[in-house]
Amino acid sequence: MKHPIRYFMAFLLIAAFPACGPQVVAVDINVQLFSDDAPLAQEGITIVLSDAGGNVTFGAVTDASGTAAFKVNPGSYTASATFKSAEDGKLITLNGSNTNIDVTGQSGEKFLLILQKVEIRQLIIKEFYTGGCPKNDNSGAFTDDKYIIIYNNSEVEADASDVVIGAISPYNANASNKYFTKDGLVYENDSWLPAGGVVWYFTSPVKIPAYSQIVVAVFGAIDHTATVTASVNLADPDYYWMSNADIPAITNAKYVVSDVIPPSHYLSGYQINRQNAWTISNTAPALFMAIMGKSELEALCTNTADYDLTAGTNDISWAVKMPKANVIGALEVYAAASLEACHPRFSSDVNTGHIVMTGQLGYTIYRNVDKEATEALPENEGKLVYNYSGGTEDVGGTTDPSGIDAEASIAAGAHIIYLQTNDSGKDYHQRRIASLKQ
Amino acid sequence: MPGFRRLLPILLALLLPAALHAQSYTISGTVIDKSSGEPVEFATVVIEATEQWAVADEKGRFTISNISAGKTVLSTSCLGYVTNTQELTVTKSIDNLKIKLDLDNLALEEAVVTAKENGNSATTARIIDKTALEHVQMMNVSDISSLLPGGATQSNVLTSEKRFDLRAGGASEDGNSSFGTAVEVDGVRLSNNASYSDIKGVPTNNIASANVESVEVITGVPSVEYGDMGSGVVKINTKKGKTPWSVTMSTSPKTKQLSVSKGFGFGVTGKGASMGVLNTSLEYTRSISEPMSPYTSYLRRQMSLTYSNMISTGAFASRPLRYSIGVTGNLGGYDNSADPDKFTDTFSRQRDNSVRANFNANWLLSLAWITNIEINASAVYSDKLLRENKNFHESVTQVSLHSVENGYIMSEPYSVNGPNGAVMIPAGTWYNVLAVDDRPLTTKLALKANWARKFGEVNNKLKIGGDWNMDQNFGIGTYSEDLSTAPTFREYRYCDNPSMNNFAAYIEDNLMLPVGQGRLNLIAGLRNDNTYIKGSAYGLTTSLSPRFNAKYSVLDAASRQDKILRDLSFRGSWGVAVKQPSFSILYPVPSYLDINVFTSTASADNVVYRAYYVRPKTIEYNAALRWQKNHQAEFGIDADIAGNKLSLVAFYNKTIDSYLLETEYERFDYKYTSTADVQGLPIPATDRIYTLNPATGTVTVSDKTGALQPIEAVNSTRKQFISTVFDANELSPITRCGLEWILELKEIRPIHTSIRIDGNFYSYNAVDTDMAAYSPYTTVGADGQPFRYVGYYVGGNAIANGREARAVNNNITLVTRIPQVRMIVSVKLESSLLNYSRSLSERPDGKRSYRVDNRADFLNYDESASIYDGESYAALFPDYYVSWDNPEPQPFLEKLRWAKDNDAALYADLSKLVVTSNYLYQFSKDYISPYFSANFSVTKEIGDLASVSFYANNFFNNMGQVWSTKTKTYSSLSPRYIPSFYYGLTVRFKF
Repeated sequence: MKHPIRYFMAFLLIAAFPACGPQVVAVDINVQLFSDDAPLAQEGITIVLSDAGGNVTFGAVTDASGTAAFKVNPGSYTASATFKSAEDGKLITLNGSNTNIDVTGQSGEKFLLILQKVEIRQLIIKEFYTGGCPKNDNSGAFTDDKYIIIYNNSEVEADASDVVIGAISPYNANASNKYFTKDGLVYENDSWLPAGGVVWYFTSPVKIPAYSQIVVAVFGAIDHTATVTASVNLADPDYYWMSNADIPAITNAKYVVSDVIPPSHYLSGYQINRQNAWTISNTAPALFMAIMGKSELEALCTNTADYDLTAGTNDISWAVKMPKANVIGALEVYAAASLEACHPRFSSDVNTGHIVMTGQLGYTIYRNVDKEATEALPENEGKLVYNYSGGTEDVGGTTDPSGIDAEASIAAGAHIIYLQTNDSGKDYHQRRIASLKQ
Repeated sequence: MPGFRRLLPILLALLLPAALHAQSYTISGTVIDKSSGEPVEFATVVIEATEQWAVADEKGRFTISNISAGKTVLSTSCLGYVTNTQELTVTKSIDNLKIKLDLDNLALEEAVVTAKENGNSATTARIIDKTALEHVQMMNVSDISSLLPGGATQSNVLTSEKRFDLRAGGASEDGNSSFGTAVEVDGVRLSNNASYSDIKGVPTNNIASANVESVEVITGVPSVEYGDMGSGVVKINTKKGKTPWSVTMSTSPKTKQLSVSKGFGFGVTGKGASMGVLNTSLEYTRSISEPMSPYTSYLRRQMSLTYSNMISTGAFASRPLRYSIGVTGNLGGYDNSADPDKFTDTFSRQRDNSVRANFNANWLLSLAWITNIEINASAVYSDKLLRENKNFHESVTQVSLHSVENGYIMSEPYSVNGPNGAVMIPAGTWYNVLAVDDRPLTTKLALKANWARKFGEVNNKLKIGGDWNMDQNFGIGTYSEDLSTAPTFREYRYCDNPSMNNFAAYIEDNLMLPVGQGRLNLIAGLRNDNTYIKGSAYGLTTSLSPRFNAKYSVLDAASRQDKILRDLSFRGSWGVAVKQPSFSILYPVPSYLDINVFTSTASADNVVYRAYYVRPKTIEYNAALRWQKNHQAEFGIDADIAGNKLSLVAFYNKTIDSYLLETEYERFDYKYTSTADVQGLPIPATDRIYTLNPATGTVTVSDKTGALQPIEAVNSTRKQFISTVFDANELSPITRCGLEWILELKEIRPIHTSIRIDGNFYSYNAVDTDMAAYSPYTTVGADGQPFRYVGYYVGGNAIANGREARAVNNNITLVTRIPQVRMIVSVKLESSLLNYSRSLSERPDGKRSYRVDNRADFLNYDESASIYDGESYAALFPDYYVSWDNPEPQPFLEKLRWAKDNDAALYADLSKLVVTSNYLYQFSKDYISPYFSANFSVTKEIGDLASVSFYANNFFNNMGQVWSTKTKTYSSLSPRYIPSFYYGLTVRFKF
């Protein structure tokens, strides 16, 4: 109804010259999906063909070869298609249009629809609980209850089998950082990030359903609430555990796992630095998540000739050069108690900004909700819970500006899409209580 | 020793003529108070040349018999009086000699508040007397180190241990210098030999400071009478004799002190025999570490009783016997239990209790063949019990290991099986008190005979003696008051180790002869130490310590008081001192490698079974261990130029065979059972019982219900190196040399002010070239298994294996005496004019470290470049390595280069043995910019009744910064380089 005059004029033309010239005969044409310089054999994708005026549209679904068949009158058309797919753990939007579909009347003509890939991270770090909580007798902080939540931020099942988790050196943002000079990070324009400590990987295939999560216990995959009521229960058969069983030098007694967690949920790791436990910061970590095949990871982590030795002596502060291209998630945390001494550890093309955390009080770093995207999901109608009050803005911390209470909404059956801006300061807030505590 | 063998006949030839007997006389007289004319009872009169003595009776009378003719120096001293020295020419017996003693107070023109050179010593020795001690208001006797040339004032709190460390640069230096500094209180040697914790000198915190009369610090080559030392002797003398009541009250922001002392004279018997004198002293001192939180404290409560007397009647009339017997007890120590900043009920308390007992007898025989005989016996028993109450929390069951047996062990609950080698502690929160019982005992018995004769103008003193000392420890080491919740520790009973006994014999001759206008003093001595450790593989160890001193006083000072050059003397010393080892060297506390070979999954109630392989790390006996020696040499000049006194002394100390502990590795393999290997077993987790075969390490999982058969868990073999420790000597010597100066300018009469300039230049150089093994433990090999290579490095695996340092410190002290109002004021400007140090990486046969531009590219180094040429990174490679599979040493660099191109896994592993420097400035010269601090002290006497002293250290409150040329950064002066502004007040009453 946008152009009623056009419709009316077209009607007049057809009505005025019904018997003039040869009769128009529709012909068969094919439109082939094409991506990365090759035909894309993607079945079930709807290709839309519309005429130059946009008055007539046709739709056809691709077959196994990625080809859709149309029967149209000769003329100029535009073909377009858009769909999401998962590739290497990344959510891909394939999007493209071809405005040069000129149908001449010859049947069987074949046209290409070239698609561009737009990457959307399917797997995200939803939460990192690392600061610990007060012990029952207030004798100090309990920090053996760390966990990481990996979330599938899409409607497509995610394959997390090749997810690796690690931390960027130095392990405290406020520590002396030999990578940071007055000119900024020395690897700002390089293709890698210095990963130290231990680089962890899953030992069994891991699938994460749409809008679902897995919990990875860092040290103790047990019920910590038995001795620390403010802590969390990580003894859950669905949870995962960073196991020290196959890393001979990681001998710290804090590595324990509950009976209920199957060995298939044990992660293993490559030890990079000299230590008896993964030195992940309680107050100011730089956590990353990457996708890397097992053989590639082994080559990266065992070839010390390619290590970066900028940070220190022997293998105490060595780092592997984790390719930025493999990194799919980055979380930069600064310690509230020593904010001025903190420096960034992710280059700006991976992450900008930081979230500030106060440790030892049970606070956790939790991802903010993508309000627009979440509200746009039709299935969320009536399920979203607003007036989020779980932040720490009242004690000088931060909260989720979306106002959506993600955990309450999930409990109500909603699908949450979390924010992805590659800016930890925008993507995360300091939550008052670990989400597993609820 | 061939040189000494040649010298000995010459020495004997000089002495043998002394067998000739000479005519002898008697000196008798009275010692009186110069101002009151009252007799001075207990004044000691000594013939310096022969050390013949007498003690004045209640009427001040004294008699010394058997004195040779000729010039002699008579020295008279008594507590509270200035020592009187006068020269007499003895041609006949002297009767009714009147010796008048001046009261030692600030009414005197010559009151001294700095360290005085001991002019009678042929080596460098300095005396700090009562006036100086009161003026400086020491709380710890080691505080007097600041009065030595170039000495810097340190923080004077007692909550941290302090020690004497003479002619050395501090704890960061090699060679255990403080361990080699001998400390004696009234002749009682305080020893740290029986310590199991460190190789350091004896802490001086528990020595009462208020009752100290004087301190003599011998930094040069001391008499052979002093053994078991390396670098100097500190002799602390407490107050003796009949004294008035003395009450001292001191306060400063961190320390409070109250002391009372009195010397009671008991008069004489009806037959006129002295009934002696009893010296008593009580001191209460409490020091806190921080005024803002005055709860962490050190307490010293000390009582001292010393009875001394002389038997000079009857058979002893002409051969008096002087003796004293004393006992000192101290109760106190460190305590932070009251600190509210600590978590509830946690504390750390360490006793510093001690009992010192001593007996001394000196019998003046004055025979032709023996002058006197002296016997000393002492015992020092200390109780240093440390108790620490700690709060523990674990979210799963934990294991505390107490097993000392080699082998596998599975944790067991204490509640089920009682004490065991691997106690399983339930999850939760608990407290436990862990204690270390440390009770060292040092006993000593010494016998010494002196034979002094005068041959014309030649004085000769021959000293022959022997001593026995024993160190033992009666402590039971570490123990817990509740074994069910104790953390991991191993019983190691100190008391089960044998005592260390040392038998020594020595001979020393001291010859004084006139040469030209002056005198030449020659001292030669030889000490033989035999250390015997019963039941120890070290058995009997013998060592010799020759020492020589010579002093030539060019001029006759007494006759030249109107000349420009009034006195001039030269002195030189050389000697060897042997330091016995401490128990931390002889019997190091064993350590254990506890390898976690199995960890079960956690049950619903968080019970986790853990198994370990316990491997005692053997303390190996080293048959080649040698006792640490110190070679000392010095040369000094002393001059008096128109009343301006100059003292210069250059010294050279070389420490050889210093003690250290080194590490060796042995191959080892064990069975490892992974958590994953038992998690999936069919026996339900809640029904599992884990047992371990202690011989094979196999874990068996049983079903407590009996429904399923036991299952042996799969295991794998892990191979790794484990370390052992052995005693060793540092092969390379540690050298220290320097120059000390003191210039005391003549007093500026109109303003009653004298200026003293003292300082020192100090140089230190040490490079460790011992071949030392190293294998990183908390890392893995390229194959993911325990790291299995050991590197052997010259000087160890630290990037630097040595250090050089140089320092110039200079103090300027202005002392204003106002005798009219009995006041003395001093201002001391302490300055550090040079503070230089540099890390070294050296070896005798070439380069130890290489200059690299990129640490990752450590093989690409320039052979010709030096690590000392500007800033750069440095790389250190082991000389060779061994692997678990091949014990044959392999050349490291050659293999590393080969592996880089041919064997990535080997390259990855060997790379972990390469050491690179952390900083570009690692080997840069570090000059700390000069800095200054000023101290102010004033002492005022109020009649004879009271005196008040006040001091303010760093009274300008210098809070500046110093610049480091190495790090190119500024850092705060205080408290690292100079103490923070601090002040104190002391009030003394005498009545």
